[in-house]
Amino acid sequence: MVLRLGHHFHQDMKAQCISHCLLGMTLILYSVHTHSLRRCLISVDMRLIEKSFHEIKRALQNKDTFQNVTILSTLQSLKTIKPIDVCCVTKNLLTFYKDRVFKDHQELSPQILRNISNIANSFLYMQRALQQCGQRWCQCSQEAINATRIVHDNYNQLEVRSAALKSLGELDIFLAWIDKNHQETSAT
Amino acid sequence: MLSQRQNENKESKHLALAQSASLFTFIPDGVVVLPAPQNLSIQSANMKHLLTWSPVIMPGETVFYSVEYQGEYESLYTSHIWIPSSWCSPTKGPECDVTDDITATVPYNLRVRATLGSQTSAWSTLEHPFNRNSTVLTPPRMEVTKDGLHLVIELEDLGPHFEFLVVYWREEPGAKEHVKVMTGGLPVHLETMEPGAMYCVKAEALVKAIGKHSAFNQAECVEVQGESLPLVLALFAFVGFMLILVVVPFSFWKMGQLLRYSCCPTVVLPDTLKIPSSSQKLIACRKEEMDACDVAVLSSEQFFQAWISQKSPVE
Repeated sequence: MVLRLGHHFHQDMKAQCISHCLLGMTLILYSVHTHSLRRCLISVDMRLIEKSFHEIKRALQNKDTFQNVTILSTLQSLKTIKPIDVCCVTKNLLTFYKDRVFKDHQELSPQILRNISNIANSFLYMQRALQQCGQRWCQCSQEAINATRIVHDNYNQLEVRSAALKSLGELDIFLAWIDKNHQETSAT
Repeated sequence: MLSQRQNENKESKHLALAQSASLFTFIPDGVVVLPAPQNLSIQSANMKHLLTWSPVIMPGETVFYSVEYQGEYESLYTSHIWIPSSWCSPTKGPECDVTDDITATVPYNLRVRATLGSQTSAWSTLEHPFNRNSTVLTPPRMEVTKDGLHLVIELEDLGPHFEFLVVYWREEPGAKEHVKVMTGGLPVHLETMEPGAMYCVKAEALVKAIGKHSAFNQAECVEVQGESLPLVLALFAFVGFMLILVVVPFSFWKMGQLLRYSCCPTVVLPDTLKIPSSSQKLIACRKEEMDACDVAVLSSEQFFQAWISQKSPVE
């Protein structure tokens, strides 16, 4: 009887130990995950991309006729994107801009074209950097997929040209969000 | 504007076709088509990119060139779109600084064509797309100065992409190396030095946008003199020496004088106190005044009294 009790006690201890170890491991992995992501886009100079956008912001936002609609609503909502979803959402939104927004936007002015080219090519570079860096960690959860889908749905509700123009005008929201989630804080 | 661009594209396609036969194509009325610029190449150092080509020589005419570029995004998604270069549409020289055009770390296609009046040549495209991560980073130039006890460094301004990693240490065995990251163009205070020690500094350039860094430059060292103590000492020593040079001989001379007076004084007897050598002589000189003169041997007392009494009327 005593032996059997002792055996159960041993098993309990083992189970506790294992669960503690697992918890510890997940915590470590979680922190490493978020930390490594923060370094993924460290080589991207967001200031220059923001500067490019700033030069054309007024021209784009003035042409926007649908002031009450926001396409990147998920980035502005109170329910913030979880750190574990940041990589997937960033990748998806970069693809969104690359495959839909820049292509759908017809630009005639060379000055604006130049700035958009800078942003588009920088996004291409950022996608590659994320792919190389976060391959193991960039798994898409259902929440991340939902967040991206909302953006696409918002885009589809408007006429293509207007949607593209509005999305371009909302680049400052996207760039600020990337800044917040990906860059290490550095004193400048 | 879009239609104009489409027309230009059609035009350039036709020209390219015509040119594929031979370099100089003659249209029936004998007008020579402008040749496309040849030998396009790009040199890049410290994130400054220069596109060069062989000039198109047309005797007596000034040929202008237009440069256009296309990022990887454009070449993949909108291949018909080429963007005119910021500074070289048009340009005169057979070169173009495309630094402000190459703004992302992706491969860029570049093309040039010549224009002369209304004539335009075919487009000449750079053989291999250019990625700015192939730029050569040189060890940075720096100026290390000391402002009193402050170690100050100023690095050259290479533009917004550059940061510098500065390593400095005190030149003594077992000294720790300090590291600082900074931008160029402005003097930066590194450390307050201790006098009597030598400090050395070296730096390398960092470009985060391409994830590359240059080699370290040649280390420069500065030394701080010990405090002003030796200077003050030297001053005091000099003053003291001058004092000694003046005071010592003077005191010797004074001492000498004192000694002379106290030990070996020279006494000079006045004439009136001088006594002649023999008494005969004294008496002999009195002979002229007196008729009778008894020659007598007087004692010294008597002699002296006689002498005094003789002397007094003279006085």
